[in-house]
Amino acid sequence: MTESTVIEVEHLSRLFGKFRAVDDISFSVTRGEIFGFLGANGAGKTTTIRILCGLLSPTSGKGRVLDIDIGKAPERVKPLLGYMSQKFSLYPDLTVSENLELYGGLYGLSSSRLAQRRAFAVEMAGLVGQEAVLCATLPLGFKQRLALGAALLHEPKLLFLDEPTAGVAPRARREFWTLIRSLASSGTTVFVTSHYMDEVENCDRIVLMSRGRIAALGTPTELKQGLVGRIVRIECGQEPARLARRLRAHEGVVDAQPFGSAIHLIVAPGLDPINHARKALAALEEQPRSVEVCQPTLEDVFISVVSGVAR
Amino acid sequence: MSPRRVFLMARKEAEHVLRDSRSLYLALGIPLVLLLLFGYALTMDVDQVPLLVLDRDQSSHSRLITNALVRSGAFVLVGSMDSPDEAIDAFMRQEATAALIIEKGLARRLDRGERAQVQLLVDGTNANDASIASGYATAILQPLAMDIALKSLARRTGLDTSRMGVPLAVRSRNWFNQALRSQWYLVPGLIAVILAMTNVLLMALTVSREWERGTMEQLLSTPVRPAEILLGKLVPYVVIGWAQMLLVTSMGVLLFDVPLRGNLLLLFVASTLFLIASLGQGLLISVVARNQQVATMVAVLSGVLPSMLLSGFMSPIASMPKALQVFTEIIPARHFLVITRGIFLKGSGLDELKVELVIVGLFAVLLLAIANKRFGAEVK
Repeated sequence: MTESTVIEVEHLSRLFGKFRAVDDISFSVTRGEIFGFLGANGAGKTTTIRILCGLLSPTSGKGRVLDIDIGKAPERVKPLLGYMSQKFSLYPDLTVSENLELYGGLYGLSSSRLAQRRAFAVEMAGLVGQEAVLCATLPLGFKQRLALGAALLHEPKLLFLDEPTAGVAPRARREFWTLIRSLASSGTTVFVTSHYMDEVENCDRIVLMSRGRIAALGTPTELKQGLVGRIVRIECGQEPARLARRLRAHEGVVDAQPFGSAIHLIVAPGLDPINHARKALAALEEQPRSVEVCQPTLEDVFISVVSGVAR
Repeated sequence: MSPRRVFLMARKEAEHVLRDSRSLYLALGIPLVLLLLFGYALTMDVDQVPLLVLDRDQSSHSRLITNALVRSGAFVLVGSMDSPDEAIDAFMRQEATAALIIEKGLARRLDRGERAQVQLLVDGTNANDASIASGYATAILQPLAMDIALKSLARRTGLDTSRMGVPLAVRSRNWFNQALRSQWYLVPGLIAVILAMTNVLLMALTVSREWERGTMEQLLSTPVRPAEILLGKLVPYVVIGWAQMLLVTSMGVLLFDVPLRGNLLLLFVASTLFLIASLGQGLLISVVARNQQVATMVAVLSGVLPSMLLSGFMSPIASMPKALQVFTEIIPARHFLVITRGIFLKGSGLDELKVELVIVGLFAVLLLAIANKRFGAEVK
């Protein structure tokens, strides 16, 4: 573990009965990084976060967080972390101030520091003047930012965010990510899970989780690299799902997935994508509106990787 | 254990209760309703039994018998009838539950010193009330019958019978509750029932609610320890329990004249132990159930029903089947009931109640310890 390593995980597994929620994963996170965990529901993202926060003990393998062995001393790691759980878990029947005072107090902040940090959190959440409002009445976007503020009261070096933008309006999501990036640039390490592919582009590095395993790990650019020049976007108008299914059976087609009214087709490496796509379409006697090569998105990567894992 | 964190948890928990009208109603409204219900409506005393009379004798003797029943207060005359069939109709229409039938010739037979009978018909639908009503009638008419017998003896033989009577008489007195008022019997028991049912239920909801909302997850990610969370949850409910106890005790004494003959401090200490046992039971349910619906079901089945039905609150444990009697031993309310009735009615002290106190105390310690252990295991 080097000085700048904040999280180091080796062969970590967690079983629930016979179900392998997390299955032999290894990775490390360095200081100031925004580290994204991407995957479908049930892929093992939340379980991993809960283990790293000391909320769940691993079945096997090792995890060190801020130089503390989380298998052995989960209680020691808790004061050093900020954690924002899936449901923005503030108490709806407590006011903005009361929620912040509760969490700040539990982290052992002195009353003068608590007052100072509370003011910071209220301002960050955009709730100045609304300190006495019950949290139940706040719109979701404000709840989310207040929950973030609560997780930052004790100025943790490492912040865990579990699905921090689930259900939040796009504009509020963008603002939220601006906040995350500014936190990271001031030295806080951010570990974030999401199933929104677009927002994970904000991460420095990404893990793609599937069925408890790491399917891929790298920077967004690295992950997309393998697909550059291999994706064809086919505008087909109607029944893209059915056409995609038929295209998948065609030789040289690695995968075909519906994207709204279009299809993203991944061709095998070394083939000319446009020609190959046209050939496949001709064989199926389909007349698409347009066929063009497009830039891979993380969603393409995710789907290709996951289907690769599944096979 | 950090006192500050326990205080923060307790303050938060108190705010939850104060802001949730349902919790408040459960905590203070239910005791009030139960008390009024049991005190006024559900009294098990049988009096003012509506009585019909068929008097075919129309003699001074027959009137004496009717008057004796009515004067006692146990029966109230609602009318007279012309044939025994009318009694059935009246029972069916629920206008009367007892009917007295006096045949012609009663006075003549009595005057001749012969045996005579009167008939009392009772609506047996409510077995308990019926047997009490017949018991009253027998008890009221027995001395009257003796009196009539002696007077007739005196008239026929010229003996002085004024000092004669039944050679062997049972004279029973009811200690501690001389008038056998059911309120005296119910109110002390009601303290146990109220503390058990409301607190098991309230507590069962608190932890499961936090599991459901996800706030437990957030709490556990902070440095707060599981034991601090549980202790913090316990404190406000103990205070609420004290308020409930005060409410029921003072209303019992002021409204229903229930005597408080024992030591108030002992009652307070015993109630607190019992309160902690009930809260411990609720905590255990809450920790394991993880959702409010399941927690409510389990709390009603394991806390509310047993403490009402199997604690000896309404029906004596001695008259339950043997197996059930053994089962009642694991219901804390059963033991606490002995304590409250002892302190209220008998004026029992520490010496008489030490066994029950130890048992209730053990329940408190054990249930809390198990809840804490399960909670610790549950969060790993």
